Amino acid sequence: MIDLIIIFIAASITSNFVLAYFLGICPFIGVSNKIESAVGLGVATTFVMAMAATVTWIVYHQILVPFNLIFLQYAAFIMVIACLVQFVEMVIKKISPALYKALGIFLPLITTNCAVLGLTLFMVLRNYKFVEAVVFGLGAGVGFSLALVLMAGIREELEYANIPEPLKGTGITLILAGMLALAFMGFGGLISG
Amino acid sequence: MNNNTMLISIGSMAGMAILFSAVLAVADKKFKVYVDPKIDELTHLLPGVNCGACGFLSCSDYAVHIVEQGVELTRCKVVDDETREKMFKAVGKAVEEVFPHIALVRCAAENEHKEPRADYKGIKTCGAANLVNGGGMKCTFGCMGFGDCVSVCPFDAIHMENGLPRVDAAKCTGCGACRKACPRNIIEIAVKKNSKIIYVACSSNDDILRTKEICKVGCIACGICEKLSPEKFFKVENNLSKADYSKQKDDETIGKIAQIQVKCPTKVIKEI
Repeated sequence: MIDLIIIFIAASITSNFVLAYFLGICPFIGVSNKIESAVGLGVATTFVMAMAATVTWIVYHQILVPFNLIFLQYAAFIMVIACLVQFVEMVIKKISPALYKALGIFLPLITTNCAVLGLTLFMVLRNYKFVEAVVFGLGAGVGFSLALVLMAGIREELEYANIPEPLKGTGITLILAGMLALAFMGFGGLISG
Repeated sequence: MNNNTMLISIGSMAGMAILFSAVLAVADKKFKVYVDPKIDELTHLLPGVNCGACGFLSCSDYAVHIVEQGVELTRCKVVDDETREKMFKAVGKAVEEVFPHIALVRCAAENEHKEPRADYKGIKTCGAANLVNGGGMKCTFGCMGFGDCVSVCPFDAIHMENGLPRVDAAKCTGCGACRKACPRNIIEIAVKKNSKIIYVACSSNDDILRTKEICKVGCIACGICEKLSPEKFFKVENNLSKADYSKQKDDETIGKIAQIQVKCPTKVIKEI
């Protein structure tokens, strides 16, 4: 049980996907204008990450390893993620048209989020067991949402700041991302090893 | 790597692909949402600039509302008449005529007319300047000239000329983006039924003494325009004359109003 909590906190805070590994920067810059859309994308990405960790674990350990096909992991994982995003899109469209409308184009764009592929590859690299993999996926999603919402909050305030002309837009956002990453380094001592 | 490995990898990948596509196919059937083909057709006909003048988030959102909730088609001010006709046909309704809308800038103060009260060094936007009591201008109603309206225009129809935004009548669609951007509500959207529209280019509610002191091109509410028009083309209220656009019916009336226009002592009655 302690192991699982440690995996969750490590994935979401101490080695946050966005702020420690710098994965998924595209949606991090693109969708952090408003808190509302940031929360929406965060929830959708968390769901896809948790599902992707679950399904890719099964694919890797039940199909790729027994048949000695580990070299196919990239292709197989990308296929799984693309299918999952399609599936999630269909389900959300049916169950909650309002959420579907709010997420708009960001929903299909989760397919190309490198944080999701990164998650599945880390999971293989670290030899997680099934439950650990699920918790890892969930933690990574929560961490991604946390970074996105924090950034959106800062950027909403930034609208009223006097920013030097050349730094406006993406420039100041990347500088802020660096500062946020430094701040998150402070959590480093939370977990040893 | 031998042939066996190749066959197994092809087989397993193909197997997974078939399995996943089967799941997706079942899901597609199960979670199918019926979408009216009219929505697609309307979305293609709409201009796709997502200006928001119709009151909806985007052009496709507007199309959904037209089909599902029967919102009127005349809300879009951007499409040309020919496309609008096609839109009416697409939903099977009788064609209605729509007059173009245009943005009117109700201030006439160019750089040389703007009387300074203080030296404003803050953020160079109208919204920010208006927060600190008018950004150093004596007139608290007039245009501050930082061009918030210019930067929001999706049609490149409004430009700064000598400290005052000028509307390009050929490009303006009356979407109202500039009206929302202006913190002082100087810009007004009106229906332009004739070759031109006559309006009072001032928004100041200051009284005659104050206006005379701080602005050479403001409406001093002398009331000449009101007295000269028994048909009430103009009405003075709150120290400001306002043109009644609904009475500018045809070019003949416009001619009559143009005769009043030249009598204005501060020449603040303008046309576009």
